[in-house]
Amino acid sequence: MGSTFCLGLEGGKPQHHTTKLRLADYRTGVAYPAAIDVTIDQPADLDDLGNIGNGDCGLAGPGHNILWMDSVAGRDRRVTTEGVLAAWNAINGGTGEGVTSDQVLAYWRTEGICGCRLAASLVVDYNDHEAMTAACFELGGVHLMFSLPKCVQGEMEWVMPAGDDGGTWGGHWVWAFASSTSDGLMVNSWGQWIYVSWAFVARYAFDARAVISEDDIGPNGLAFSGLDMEGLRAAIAGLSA
Amino acid sequence: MKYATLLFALAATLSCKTTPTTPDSFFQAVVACTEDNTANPQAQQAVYQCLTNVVVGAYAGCLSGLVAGGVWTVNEVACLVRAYATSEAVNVNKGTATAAGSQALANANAWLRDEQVRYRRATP
Repeated sequence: MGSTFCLGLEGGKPQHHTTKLRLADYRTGVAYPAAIDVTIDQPADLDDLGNIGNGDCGLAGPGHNILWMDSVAGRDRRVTTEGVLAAWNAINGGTGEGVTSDQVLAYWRTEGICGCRLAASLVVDYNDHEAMTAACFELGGVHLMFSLPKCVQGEMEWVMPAGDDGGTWGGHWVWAFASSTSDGLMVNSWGQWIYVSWAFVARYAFDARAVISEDDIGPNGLAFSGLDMEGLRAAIAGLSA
Repeated sequence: MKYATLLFALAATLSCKTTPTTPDSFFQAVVACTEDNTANPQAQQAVYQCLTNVVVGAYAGCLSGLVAGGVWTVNEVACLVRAYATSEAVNVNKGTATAAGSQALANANAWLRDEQVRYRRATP
């Protein structure tokens, strides 16, 4: 079975985070629900942001996250397909080729995507369901990088295949907006909402990041989770400079 | 005649043994939360009372009872539990949680971890 949906993330091998920031190092005494959907009260995001035809998943994933940040904070929407593609072309030089997650995170932090800049990205242990759910709540979703098998082409639920997985389809970046410690994740990919089981994550994910941006504060001065982010920002500012 | 009675009793016993016990209303239920199934004030009150007013450990039976009694649906109860867990976690992080709210968060989280409800967001 083939697919007309493009992927576009290079890499796909397990990364050893010896020098990267880990969310677990900065979490102390934060409350979180054991199941969360951060988009539950927000308008439905069904925009593929150019990913179906272009394979710009490495920028569309952040785009969905930024779109959510603006919605929660009550700001005007900044994310457009044109803006996402502009960032994608800036990274790959207009070649149409895939990008790596490190390239995207560096660009997001130094140049910004659709006017949003990262303060930092933190590694999350994607095999720790509590940490993933906590990160989803505390920092507004989690970015997941997969090396997808062909068997999930066209599927709205990514679960462990009963038999042959068809081999490797390719690298893919998605933004997870919902997480349940006992079940799995919901991710936005190509503007579609896809369920991903924890077993699938364990088998096919190769990186997970929660991000802190300059725009994750709402009108009340607090993040979605009720946290005052200044302390966390200050703690990581020197390390990520 | 005695054999017939015995066979009948045996059959009845086996029949009873194969009758399924009342299934857990929530275990692996697939739930889609919407504004409709989280907006009923009476359901909100019933779920919150289960999460706060009962003796420790009995909240799960209380929540199951709301469904078993035919008062509220699995969707309504499951979605409200998750909604309370979220709002009370926000309150804790903001420093505005009450004792009842903290209890609701603890019970809601225990329930969410135990029941394995499968939350999905249905595409509109």
